[in-house]
Amino acid sequence: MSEWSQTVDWLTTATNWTKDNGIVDRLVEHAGYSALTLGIALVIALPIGFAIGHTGRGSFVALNSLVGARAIPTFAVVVLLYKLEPLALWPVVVGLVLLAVPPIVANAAAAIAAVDPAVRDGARGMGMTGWQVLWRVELPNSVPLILAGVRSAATQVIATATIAAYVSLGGLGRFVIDGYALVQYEQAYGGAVLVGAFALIVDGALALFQRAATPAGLRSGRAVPRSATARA
Amino acid sequence: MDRPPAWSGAQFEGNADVLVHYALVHLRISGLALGLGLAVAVPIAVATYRRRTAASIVLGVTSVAYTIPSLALLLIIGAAMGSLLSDWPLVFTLAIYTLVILVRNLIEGLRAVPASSLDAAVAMGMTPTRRLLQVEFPLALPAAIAGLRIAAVSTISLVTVGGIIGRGGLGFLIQEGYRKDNPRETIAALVATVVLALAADAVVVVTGRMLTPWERTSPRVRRRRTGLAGGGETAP
Amino acid sequence: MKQGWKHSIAVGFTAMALFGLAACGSDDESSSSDTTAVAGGSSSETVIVGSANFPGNVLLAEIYAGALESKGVAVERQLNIGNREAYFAAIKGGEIQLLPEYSNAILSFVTKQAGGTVTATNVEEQVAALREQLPDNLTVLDASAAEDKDVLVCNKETAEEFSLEKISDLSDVAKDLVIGAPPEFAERDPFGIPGLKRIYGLEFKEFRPLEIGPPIADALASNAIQCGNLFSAMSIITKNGFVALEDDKVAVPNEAVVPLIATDSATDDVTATLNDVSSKLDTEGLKAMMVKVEQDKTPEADVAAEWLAANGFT
Repeated sequence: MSEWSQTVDWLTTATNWTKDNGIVDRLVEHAGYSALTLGIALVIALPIGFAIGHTGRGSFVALNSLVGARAIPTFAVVVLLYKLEPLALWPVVVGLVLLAVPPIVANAAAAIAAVDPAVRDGARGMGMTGWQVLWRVELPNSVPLILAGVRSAATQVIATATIAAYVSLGGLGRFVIDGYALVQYEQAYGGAVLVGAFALIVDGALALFQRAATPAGLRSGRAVPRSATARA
Repeated sequence: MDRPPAWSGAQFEGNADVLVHYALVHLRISGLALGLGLAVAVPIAVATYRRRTAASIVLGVTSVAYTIPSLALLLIIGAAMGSLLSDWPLVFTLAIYTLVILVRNLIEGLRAVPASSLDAAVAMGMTPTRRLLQVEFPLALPAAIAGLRIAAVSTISLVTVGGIIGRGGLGFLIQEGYRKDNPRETIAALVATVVLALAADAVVVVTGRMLTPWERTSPRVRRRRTGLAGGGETAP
Repeated sequence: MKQGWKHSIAVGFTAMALFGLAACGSDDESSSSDTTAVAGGSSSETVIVGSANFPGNVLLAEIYAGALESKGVAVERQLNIGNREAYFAAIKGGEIQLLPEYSNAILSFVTKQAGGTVTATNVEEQVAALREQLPDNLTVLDASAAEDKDVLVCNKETAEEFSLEKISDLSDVAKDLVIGAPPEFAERDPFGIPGLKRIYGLEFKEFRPLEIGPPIADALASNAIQCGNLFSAMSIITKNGFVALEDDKVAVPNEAVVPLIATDSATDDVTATLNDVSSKLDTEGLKAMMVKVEQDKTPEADVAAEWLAANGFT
């Protein structure tokens, strides 16, 4: 398809990267939306996940809310909130945070809950309080699984942040939307490729971080609970 | 002349039939996508789970496909099919995403079958096919079910992307509410989508329980195992 | 356990089959009938009517479709296809046979595709040029007196502050104003950034890409943008007190509503019916209908049916 060779041309033309509102600018915006979203999602999701995992309570309600939250079409949320303050950034952030919270909560809760009860009992036996057990025992053991949730959330957020362009904001989605509207498909396809590449790079970086943060004793490929990834 | 019912008015009342109609369309698209994805995922997983390189390639390719934004993939597939005037581009797009999730889960699930079970099967004189069907598949079922849950919810949510080209089941109503400044229409369709997803999730869970009677244990153990751990996720 | 695995697989397949059946069992006109349509027309007499994805065009498509049905023509609908590139490709490729167009917009589109420039200055010239420029398998029928054109509107506070009544009033102040319009506005001539610059010498402070309709209307109402691109028949203009600026230098001569149709589908009956519709449509009537569609949220099909009944078609 000649459109694909045009896409390659578009991606390899330096001015497309460096010009105003070019690839670099849009990439920075896209990364900004994603980072902001993940930061907020972590602040919300981690405490909730820890609470559920540590106390073992509320998991039924939490899990079903998570399933429901995952099902919400982000586009619908964004366009509804857009009406409240057109052209603002927060509608997009809210929509994306809704997307990022479920995988992080689910993994954080599962990770805390999956800590070997023998280890927990040992800690209690050593005289640690509930809080201390959480901080010194459960958390370090949970890091790999939590990071896996963050990875999953990050990929989804990066792919879905293209939606910002639909409500006139920036990010790599601009190339997809404008490319399609202007019938410059090399831009549209190029934008999609860039989003995918960015997501893969971030995923890879987080994977390395996940490995590095895994306490050595857990690193040797021990079986991890049910695996799945999700997107919305 | 058989026309789909149209949303009428800025209020919720009187439009239940519209929601039901588009919910059924939505289910049809989701069902086709999930069925197609599953049908392709199983042979691929079976063919590659024992071969490291093949599996790595498959997992790598599917990861890439997964990161392409849904709208872009829909338009690409539509262009490849030559027409956006049917539900098939959307079905194929979502089947690809389903495939990605399920292949990953199936491969991991098959690989996680304990060596002891396989050894026992070999010792019993089972052929590879019987081993696959009687030992490996059943033991990989929980992983497959977990993947199917996520795929179902995710697919039902993504069907709405079709609204941009005037299709997509409940997504059509979401878009129409957006274009005609009818927030209640959008909200109703959004809620219906979530309800459908929750229902689908429940169906998959129940089907999974029926298919894995050996996992039925005391509520305490089940809560530990299928509750939180079943809902957790990893990315390879 | 020996029986167990067979049982499990059987249950599994049954469950999936039931799910599949339930999903397939739903009757859906828009999804099931178009598979035959995609194959090039279910019968040579069926006319598949398409539309763009905004209510004003959907309404016109419903009027065309309803009028043809009242004369016994078999009709199918494929509405909300997308933007002009998408639906023009569909009609050019034979997937649909009829859709409502606007004389200047479609002429600019096909002329630009052929690499030329538009010279027509009134509706007759536009229609003649169209019949020449369109591919052989497409043509246009009689144009209507009804118009629905792109307009540049500014919100009330901006219009009052700068005393704006016509587009040329913007020449000094545009550099302080933000304009909202669809992405293609960035490259359009005459009604776009380059066109407005060429004809009126306007340069805006910022261009925000937004869809025509409620997205632009909401942004105007909140003053996130000061001016925007809407369609003249939209009731949201008057409802929000926006001021539609007069196109005093006539960037866009006329935007008459005109049926774009596959030549093979333009039988005597079809042509006569659609010309009848065009002769009875007028801008005021269109605006009145748009109030019902946009404010009352009455389905376009119902509003169209009302108009058809009132104009002798049913």
